[in-house]
Amino acid sequence: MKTLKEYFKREFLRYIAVVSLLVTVDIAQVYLPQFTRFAIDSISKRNINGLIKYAIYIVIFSIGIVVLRFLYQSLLRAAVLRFDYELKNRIFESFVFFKRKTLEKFEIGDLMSRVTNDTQAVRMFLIMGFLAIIDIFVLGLTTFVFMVKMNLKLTLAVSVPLLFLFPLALNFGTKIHKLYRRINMLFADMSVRVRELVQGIRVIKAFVKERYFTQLFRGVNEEYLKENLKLVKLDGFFDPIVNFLINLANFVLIFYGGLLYIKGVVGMGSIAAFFQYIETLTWPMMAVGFSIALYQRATASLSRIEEIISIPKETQGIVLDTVDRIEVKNLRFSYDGNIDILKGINLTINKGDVIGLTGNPGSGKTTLINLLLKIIDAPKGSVFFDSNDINDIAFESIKNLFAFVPQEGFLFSDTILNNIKVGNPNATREEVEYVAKVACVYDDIMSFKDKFETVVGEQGITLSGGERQRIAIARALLARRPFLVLDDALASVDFKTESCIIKSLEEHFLKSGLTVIMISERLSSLSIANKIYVLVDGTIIEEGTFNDLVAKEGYFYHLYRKQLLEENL
Amino acid sequence: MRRESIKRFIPYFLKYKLLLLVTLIGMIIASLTSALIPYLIKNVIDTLIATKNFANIKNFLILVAIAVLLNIVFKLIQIYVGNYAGQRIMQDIRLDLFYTVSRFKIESFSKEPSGKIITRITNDVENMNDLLNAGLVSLFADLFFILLAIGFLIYINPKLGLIVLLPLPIAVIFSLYLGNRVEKIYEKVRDALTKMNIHMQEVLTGIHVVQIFDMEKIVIDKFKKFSRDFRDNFYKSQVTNVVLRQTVNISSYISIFLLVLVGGILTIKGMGTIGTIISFSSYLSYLYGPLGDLSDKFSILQNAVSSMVKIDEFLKSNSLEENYEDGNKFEVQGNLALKDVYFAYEENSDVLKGVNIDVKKGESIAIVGFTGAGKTTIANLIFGFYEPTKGDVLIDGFDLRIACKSHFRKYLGMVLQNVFIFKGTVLDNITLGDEFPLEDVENVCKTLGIYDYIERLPNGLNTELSTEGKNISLGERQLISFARALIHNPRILILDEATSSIDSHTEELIEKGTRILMEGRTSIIIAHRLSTIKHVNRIYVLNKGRIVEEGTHEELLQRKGLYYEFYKSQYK
Repeated sequence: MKTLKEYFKREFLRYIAVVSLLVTVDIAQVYLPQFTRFAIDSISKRNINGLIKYAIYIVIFSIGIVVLRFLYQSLLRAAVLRFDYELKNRIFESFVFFKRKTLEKFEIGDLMSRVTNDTQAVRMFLIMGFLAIIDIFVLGLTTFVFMVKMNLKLTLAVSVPLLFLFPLALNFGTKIHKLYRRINMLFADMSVRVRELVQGIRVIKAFVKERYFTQLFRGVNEEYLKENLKLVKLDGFFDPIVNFLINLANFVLIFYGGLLYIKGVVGMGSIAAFFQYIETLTWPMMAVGFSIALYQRATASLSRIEEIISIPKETQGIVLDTVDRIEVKNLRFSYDGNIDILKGINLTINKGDVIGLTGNPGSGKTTLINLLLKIIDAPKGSVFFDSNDINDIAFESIKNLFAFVPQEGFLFSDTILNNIKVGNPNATREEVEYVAKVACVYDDIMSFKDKFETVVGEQGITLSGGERQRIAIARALLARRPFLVLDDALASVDFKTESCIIKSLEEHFLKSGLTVIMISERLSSLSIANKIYVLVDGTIIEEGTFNDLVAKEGYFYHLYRKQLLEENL
Repeated sequence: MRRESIKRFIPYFLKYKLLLLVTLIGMIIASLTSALIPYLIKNVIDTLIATKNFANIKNFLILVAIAVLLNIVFKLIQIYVGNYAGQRIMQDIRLDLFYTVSRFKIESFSKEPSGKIITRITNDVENMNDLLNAGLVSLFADLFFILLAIGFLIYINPKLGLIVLLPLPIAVIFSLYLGNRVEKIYEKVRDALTKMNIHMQEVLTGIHVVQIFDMEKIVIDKFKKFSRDFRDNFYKSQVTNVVLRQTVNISSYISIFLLVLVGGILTIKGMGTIGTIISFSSYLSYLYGPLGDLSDKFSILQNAVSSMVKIDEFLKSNSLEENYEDGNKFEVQGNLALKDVYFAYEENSDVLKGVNIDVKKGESIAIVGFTGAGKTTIANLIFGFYEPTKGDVLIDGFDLRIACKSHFRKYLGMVLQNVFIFKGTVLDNITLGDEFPLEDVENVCKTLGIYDYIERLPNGLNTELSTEGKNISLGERQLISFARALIHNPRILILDEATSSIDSHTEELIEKGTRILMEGRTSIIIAHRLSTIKHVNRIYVLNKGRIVEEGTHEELLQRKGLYYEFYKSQYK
């Protein structure tokens, strides 16, 4: 709730203004039926002047109410939306600085909903809920007071049906949200079935299963129907029941009020006023229920939001500009504390090395890289950058040493040029074209209609896997960092392109002292490495140059032979 | 155009005509009673003022009580029955639509984006639901009631009635106009929200790139821009909404002012009553009430009609497979022949150019070639998903063009590279809903060597798999698709080998599984593994749409042609 307190402190004056205006409007609103009452009493006494007087009061107060209401509603919304804007930004900013360890605790969809749905719940409470609370007190209480002043017994009688509005609204407010959530989930389930139909249509048709899948679809539909009917009972019945209670109150009014009128206890003007007050009271009665429900949702959302923005950013640590040697000493690592992914790794990376890393799927290669990049935290005493334990080095500093090309060749929805320039936004056009040539993707780009200005779809969908990876390589090269890490970055390129890339890397960069770490399951890619580590099930079983390993006739050799025979069919 | 689209859906509504009739009756009686109550109250009040005798108003009070009860009962009937009918109608439409789409020709699925198909079946049908309930029933009820209320006003006191109604049309016009503006501005809000979501999705998925390349500030600034758009447009739409409501309010206050003043003067002059004034005040609040969201209701109606049109167009522009239930139902033995087959997906770009393939019952053949050479097309033709543009595809000598598809496909089996796993149990994914004895399923799993793996799952065969099989590995999915093919025991099997790397244990099982699948049935393998190819009876080498070589592995190596080049290119 810290964020809310800060908010109220800042907007204090504005809220004073809003509340004052609101109170004024509510009181004015409560006077209107009194003018009607006096007007009708004037009519009964045939007092035209009195009638005109009160009619004019009605107009003046009405105009005032409308204008002031417009003012405070706009003021309130402006304040709340400013808060909403800041809240959204703070949450997003937190995401961007998350470390992998934190991010993995959440699903992307869940994080996104904190920015959209959770801020909405807070927003709705601050606008509607806040107004409702003030209305309940000012409008509700004042109306009640005026009614009692006219006649206590009649007030009590008429209030009985209206009291039911409170539990009705509370019930509605708390259940409606859950119901909508459930219905949205079922709607999503239906969409999933349709997506399955579309994606699996060949299999579905091949096995003649069109009816079977329609039956599966029917299953979700039945549930959807049931929940929707529940919604109808909650939502659809709400208005009619409210109307019924108002009608009931009106009935009590004419029945009991009629008796009192006959006895001469109340005038017809008062009865007319009561009719209007019954209408006025319905909102505050319901508002209690609503605002409780809105408050509950808002507090739940607020804690979800604060969960995110309270995570501290990591900034401390040693800053290194260059590194001559990375040493890994007996590195053991496990994600969950039970099963070791890495079981005592030893390796050395010297400046200028081209390190190859290979092994079976799941052997821990990517984990090792993530540890070196400080994306996940290594145990103390296992990883050293020039005799500095990695845990003492600032994350920022490590980031700036490495240029990383991940497996999936992730690109943003933007032009190819801008995607490459992510590596170095200040690079010139020539530098961009140069790295594109080294990554052997320049000709491909020039063959597109818009060349470098071609816009790549979400995550680069319109390009082939190989093209995306090469662009990601170009981006990494542009950053000119001391270390280049390729995580199976050549998996999607064919043999010819791969040799082109390796050759041009050799020619242009290795002479400038660039250190390369290459993970590849395709062993032919590792031919330029001066040291290869073979990682199997978390242990390094072989190491040496390409030729050394072939000569050993061990795991490496056998895998190599198998790949030669299998490729390209 | 619209009328035609609407006509298509009428039978769905007619099926529930009884329920719809009940809804209509409910609506009429509810509106009638609503309109009656203020009139009755007027009489009570006037009688009270005139006679000050409770006995005289007893009857009116009883009538009011009855009206109030009838009102709530029939209103609830209208809502519940109306919604129930609406939901049933939508379900019928959705199911029919789903089944119809499943019967579309395969080309529809490459033509139409999957998002569009999903939207038609889900969102567009949902919008139609609003047509019935929020639209037709609710709008009709409102309009009917408005007419009744105006009728009563004029009936009770025409002069006063007309005067107090003066501001109403202006309020209606403003309501519609401003409501429209709110909707337009709100579209910008939705737009900003969508952009925000897309941006967040991208950033969170590629967060490692963002962090590694110091892009934090850039992505934050971009987000702030969308956030600003959201805030500014949301504020505008809200303020416009406030203006709308206050406009309606001021009109209703003016009506009340006129009521009190003019009504008062008329009453003093003996041309009106106090009861009239009180009841008119009720009528006015009923009339102004719905104005707040009048515009919303109209736009819901508009959306519903446009969804109907979209569904109609969607159905018109796609056609069902021919000969699905009709056609030649012959006994399938397992002989397959492609005779001089030509095929093009689009005009003038032949994918297959005179392909001849002959497979006798029980033989296994492999098709090899570069990607895009036409291998998948051959599979499509064998299943009758497409027809050759020239030449014939024959099973046991029968032309597939006139064969009954739902019949002969049952004798065929398909194993694809991208395995289709749907949300359901492992058992469902294997049997595809067919009733096989559990023992048979277990035996198939044991034969393929996956029985132990399945037993180790949380619920064995009844373990729930998530959509696209995300909770099991690639290799495991492949093996399930093998079990699926094996249990259905096809006479002709088409297998499109997977190319992705899998761990060595699963790789072994897949190699073994492939051999088991091929045994004793006609098999056509689109091959990538040398181990598979070495065991087939014949290899067809497909290049640029033609069969360029044909023979066994040894024969083709000796020929030193394209196949030999494939083989040789592995040595540097």
